[in-house]
Amino acid sequence: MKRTVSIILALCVLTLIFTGCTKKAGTVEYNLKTLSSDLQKSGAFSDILGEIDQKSVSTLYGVASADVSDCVVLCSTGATTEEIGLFKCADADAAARVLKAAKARIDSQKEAYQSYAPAEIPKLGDAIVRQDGVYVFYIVSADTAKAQAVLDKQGK
Amino acid sequence: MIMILSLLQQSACSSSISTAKASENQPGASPSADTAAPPASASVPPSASESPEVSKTDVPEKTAADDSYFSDAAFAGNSLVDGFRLFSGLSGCAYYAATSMTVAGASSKAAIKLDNGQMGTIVQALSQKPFGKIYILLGINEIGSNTSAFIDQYGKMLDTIIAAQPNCKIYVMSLTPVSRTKSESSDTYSMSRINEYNTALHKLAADKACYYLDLVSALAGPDGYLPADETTDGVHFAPKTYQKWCAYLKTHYV
Repeated sequence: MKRTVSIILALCVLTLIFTGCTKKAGTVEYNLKTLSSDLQKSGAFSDILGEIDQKSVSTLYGVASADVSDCVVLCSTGATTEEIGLFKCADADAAARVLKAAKARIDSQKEAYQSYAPAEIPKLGDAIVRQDGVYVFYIVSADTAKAQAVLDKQGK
Repeated sequence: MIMILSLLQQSACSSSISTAKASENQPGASPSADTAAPPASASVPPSASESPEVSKTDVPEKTAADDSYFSDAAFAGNSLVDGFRLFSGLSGCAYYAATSMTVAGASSKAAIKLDNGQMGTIVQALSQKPFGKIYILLGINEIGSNTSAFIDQYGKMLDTIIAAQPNCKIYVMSLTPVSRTKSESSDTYSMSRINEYNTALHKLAADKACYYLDLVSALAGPDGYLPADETTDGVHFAPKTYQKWCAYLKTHYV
């Protein structure tokens, strides 16, 4: 009996620990404006970037506006593929859809720039395209390490 | 009778002045860096009294129209039109543009998403529904090509668009300026080459009864080049340049 209770208690503790870890990973809050500003100041980008409006974001990425509760997207002059796309999505499922759209954008940019500006292709290969809970990041830069350092700092 | 003869004589004199001015505007060799002068703007048209056919193509400056003027407009062309879509602030119109688009590609490259969701060409996109005005910017991606061949292809493209849109005002936008650094480092992307293309485009627009918009005068600085702080590669624009371009279109319409 004592042994059974001990096992049950141990299982409960393990469950609590596991739940705590999972909860922590999905609840990082990012301030998209601050993140965008820090990225631009990081020295990771070589091109001039300009912010675009929500309607242009939906067209450019092919994402439903209902899936995105907040976003900051900065596009380059077109001379490079550099871009900052920061999305806070309605929920994890919406974030998964936006992530898919972001990956599709990488593919279409590769196709567009393959012959137009081949030197840009490595930037697309090194791009940060990932989901963190309800957030999706699409960052194509001249220096991925610098961009990643900014993300890592914000995510703490 | 004497008055009629006098008027005819005046008209003949005006034509010869127009011919002389046109030949003055032919681009010569690019100036060296040491003696660089502003590039000759071959896109400045003769005055109305000297060349009536060309002047009908030019669009005078007016009180600014608001965004609603562009609600039945379509913009077609290359990556600069893509940039215009993103940064000009004009969102109520149709955009059919793609990176590396050329005048040949406008009829052959399925790079545009059509209303039915399928991919098609720019010419197909412009034929989908009636537009009140169509703005076209093409040329910088093929500026290494022979001017005559470019104009020939552009003319054929215009014929197709005009046939599909008989009641539409078509604006042929000139090639845009490049930076001094770009111009002086490249025989291809030089302002003299751009001006050569634009002179030919200007004439083509007149021949096809289209309007011509001089983006060199709209976007170049006082030295005749794209300002250095408005570009990173000498060709593509910072967001503020697109806003300048938009402001120009709002004050130059028919």
